[in-house]
Amino acid sequence: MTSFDEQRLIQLSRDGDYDAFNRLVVEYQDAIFAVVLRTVRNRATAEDITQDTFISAFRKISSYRGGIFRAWLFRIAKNASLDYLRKVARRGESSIEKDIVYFSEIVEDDSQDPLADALNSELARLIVHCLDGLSEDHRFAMVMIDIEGYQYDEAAESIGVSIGTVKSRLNRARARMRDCVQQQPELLPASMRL
Amino acid sequence: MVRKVINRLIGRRYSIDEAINAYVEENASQDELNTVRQMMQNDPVLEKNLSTQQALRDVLGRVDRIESPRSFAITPEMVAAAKRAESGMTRVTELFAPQRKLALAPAIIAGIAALSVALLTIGDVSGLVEQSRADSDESATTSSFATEATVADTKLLFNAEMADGAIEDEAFVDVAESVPVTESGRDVPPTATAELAEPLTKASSDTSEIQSEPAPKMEIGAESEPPALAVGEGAPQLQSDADDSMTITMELEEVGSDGASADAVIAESMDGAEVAADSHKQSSDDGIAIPVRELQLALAALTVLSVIAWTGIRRIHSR
Repeated sequence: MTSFDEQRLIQLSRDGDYDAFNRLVVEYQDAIFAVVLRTVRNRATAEDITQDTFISAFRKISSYRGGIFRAWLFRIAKNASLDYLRKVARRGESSIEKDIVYFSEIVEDDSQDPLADALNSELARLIVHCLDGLSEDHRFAMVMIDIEGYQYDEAAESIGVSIGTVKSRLNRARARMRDCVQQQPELLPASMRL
Repeated sequence: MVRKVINRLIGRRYSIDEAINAYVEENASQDELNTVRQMMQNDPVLEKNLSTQQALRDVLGRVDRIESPRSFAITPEMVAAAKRAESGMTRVTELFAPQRKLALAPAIIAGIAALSVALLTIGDVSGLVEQSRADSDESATTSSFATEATVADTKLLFNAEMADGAIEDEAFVDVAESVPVTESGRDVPPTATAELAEPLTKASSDTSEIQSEPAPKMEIGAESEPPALAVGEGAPQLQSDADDSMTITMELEEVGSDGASADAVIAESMDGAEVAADSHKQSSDDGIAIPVRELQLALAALTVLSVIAWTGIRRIHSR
């Protein structure tokens, strides 16, 4: 989709065109769902939050003032996700589906070795565990940049902070992740062992 | 100065973070490389740490993509349902949702108000602040109206009694009771009231002179006095204590007996009021005179309201 198309679809959505908005939904739903799922770590909740994000975006689209549209959607989704996590924390519940395949579990590996697959699976679990240990802000920065591969400017706009802040958070998140994964060195590739 | 230092520290922190991130992502500029290498010289473990981070980033980058399990396309019914679910209260609470900048506003307001109440109480107990006389002076306007009304009553009483040809003592008792209460509020000592009544009683013995001259002057004086005091001297002087009333009464007596002009009387009584108010002001210079109790009540009410708003918003939001 070209930038022009996106702007036109946004304009049509402002006029109440559901079809135009749903084309935007189709374009961005994977990205939004992935980040939400990796933030809230609960599939059913992630679906609800993603749906609410698009409904809320449609209702508030008149307040969209330009910039990266996907980042604007991410910001709505991030607020809803953090809101949910705080509610869960206040109630003392656990939102984490410990053994459910929401992180894809398997780190892609070209080898056909079953042992390597098992190790990768364990490594994926370890990564999930270490991500859980990060603060919400750090986790969101790491998910957006290191896992989903977004640029700093888009991540900054999504989170609603400066690029410098994102870099700072990411640096701390990487350092904490490194410390966490090194607690189980047997799962790590040789390059990650001290 | 402090801000400069903080900005410099933050700026330095940012530049280090930037250099390290760029190194881990393998897109560092020459300057960033130099910065990181210099840091590595100072910290030998850093190189290994950063290469671990590079490997970790590589692993994270190979994590499978997630695809949405279904379509999240919206329908008019969904939007309508969301609108119905969102009441006006929800919109207000949304403004103060935990992730918003205003989230802590009610709590901060409650804290500041509670702290102010505490400080006022401490100040009141320790004598640093005093209850202003004008509590008393709740407002200059109110007092001005009250004074005006009382003087008007007095004038009517005088006129009525003079029309009968005699002024009874009880008329002056009425004046003596009404004047200090309205002008001085609760601070009038009983002795002042007695002193006030006395000269007026003396004046009543000379009714013929009062009938011929002072009655119209009383009207002039009575009608012009309160606004003049209110404008020229301000509220604190308007509500001066019994001394003011006494001074005015003394002047009234002189008018009754000497037939002096009302203007002179007003001027003199104003001077008297000023002197009395000045001495009063001096006496209250020891502390800050403010309506402590009213402030305490208002701030306490603000605290309670803010706490109620804060808890209510949180409860609604969690629901």
